[in-house]
Amino acid sequence: MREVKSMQLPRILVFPAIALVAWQAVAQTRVFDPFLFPTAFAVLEKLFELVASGAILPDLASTLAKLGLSLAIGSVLGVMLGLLLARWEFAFESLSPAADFVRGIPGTALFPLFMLFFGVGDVTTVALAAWVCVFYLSLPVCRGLRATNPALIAVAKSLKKTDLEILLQVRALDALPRVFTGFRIAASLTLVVVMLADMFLGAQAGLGKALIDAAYTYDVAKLYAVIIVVGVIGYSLNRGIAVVEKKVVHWK
Amino acid sequence: MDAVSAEGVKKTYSFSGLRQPILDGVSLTVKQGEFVGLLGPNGCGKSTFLRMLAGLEQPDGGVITVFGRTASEGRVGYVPQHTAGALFPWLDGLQNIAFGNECSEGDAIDIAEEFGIGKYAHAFPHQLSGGLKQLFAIARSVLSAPDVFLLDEPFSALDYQNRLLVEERLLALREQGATAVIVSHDIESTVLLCDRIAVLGSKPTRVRALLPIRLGERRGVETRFAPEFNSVSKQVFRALTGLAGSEVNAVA
Repeated sequence: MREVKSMQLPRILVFPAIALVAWQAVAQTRVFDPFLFPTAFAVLEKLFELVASGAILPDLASTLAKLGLSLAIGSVLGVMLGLLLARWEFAFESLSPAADFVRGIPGTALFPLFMLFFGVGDVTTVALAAWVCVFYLSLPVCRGLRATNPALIAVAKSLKKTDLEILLQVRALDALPRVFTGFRIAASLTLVVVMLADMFLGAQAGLGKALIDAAYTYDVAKLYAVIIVVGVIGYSLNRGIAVVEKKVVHWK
Repeated sequence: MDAVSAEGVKKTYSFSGLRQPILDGVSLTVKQGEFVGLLGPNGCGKSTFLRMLAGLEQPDGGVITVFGRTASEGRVGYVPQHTAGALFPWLDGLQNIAFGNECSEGDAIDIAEEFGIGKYAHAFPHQLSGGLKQLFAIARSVLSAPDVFLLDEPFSALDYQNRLLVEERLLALREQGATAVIVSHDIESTVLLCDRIAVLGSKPTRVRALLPIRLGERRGVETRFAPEFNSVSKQVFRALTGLAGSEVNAVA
């Protein structure tokens, strides 16, 4: 087991190492404009400087806080809406086409509307990101709860379980794989909205703002460095959810 | 008092707007301590009838009682096909046995040991063979101490060894005086286990033949090699395949 782990770590690092070497090599050939395509070493140096000096921390903290808050609000409301749609046939028949329609509207198309309602700033960012999370999570929750294996419900009913017990002990657990898949998509899209809103909705801090500021000030090395940080957040978010999913949905 | 009484049970389903009668006045009584098999072609409504005996579906006509109570009030041990997922995939074997039963862990362990599945107590359903899954599902049902066992195709998709395991447990229940209705496609196992076999016709379904199975009181898995077993099986085969005429009324 220990041997397998020691083999896995280098494998994970193989592609990034190759990419960095290739990046460095291509950049040194100066085929591309060195101003727009700095060397990997220069970018890593900038990244180290941003982290070591703590300069990136306010932006990082702001983005993580907005992302966390949006996911928390979006998840609670998304699960509640999904539950409502799943439990009441009238709500499902009348609201699910509308929910599908709303989900089809890109979150970015709603920027102006949310700006009118909430003004510019972090409140708008969180509201919009949570909105996207709600609609991408509610439908998997609803469909997961409605698609419970009928044999399991039959067994639970024959054992005289109440509707509430069946909901909590059977339907909810059977829906978990779909819910996690939906949550992974919702979390990725929520991050996208937070980043874009940081760029264009007048955020005081945030990685999106740091990116757009770096572009405006031609600090290209910083631009690349922040992109790497955003990539790490996206990857960690996805991996984190996958790890939790593997623990919780252990039977899949 | 009959353990199970079904009088003129009717059921109609709608397929693409067309109403199709499935059960057309099915009547059947099961005495306490009796095992009754239901054989019939695919789609004739055997499983539907079983679910109605379990109170999981309501008939459109007719009356069903289980020890004098309505089917939904009856204390039944319903075991769906293991291929349909009779076990909760997120619970291990022991937790599945205990599900819905007010019992101590010791009780669940005892019943698992009695069924010879104690060493798989902490395995999850996806780690179990079809036969073991079926035994866990039956063990859960036994622990709930039902008045009647309702088993839906307990031998489907089982290899011979697993089928013998399930047969042995069901024969033991039979010895203990349990009452059961078994839906199956398997003539051999049904003959081995049952006191009577009801052969159902094609849709709209009625009981086409009700055959007594006289193989002696003490039966084991090797009873299938007894000389009288073949003649009884042949009689059931003929009734099932229509060779004995359109209506056979060999009532026990």
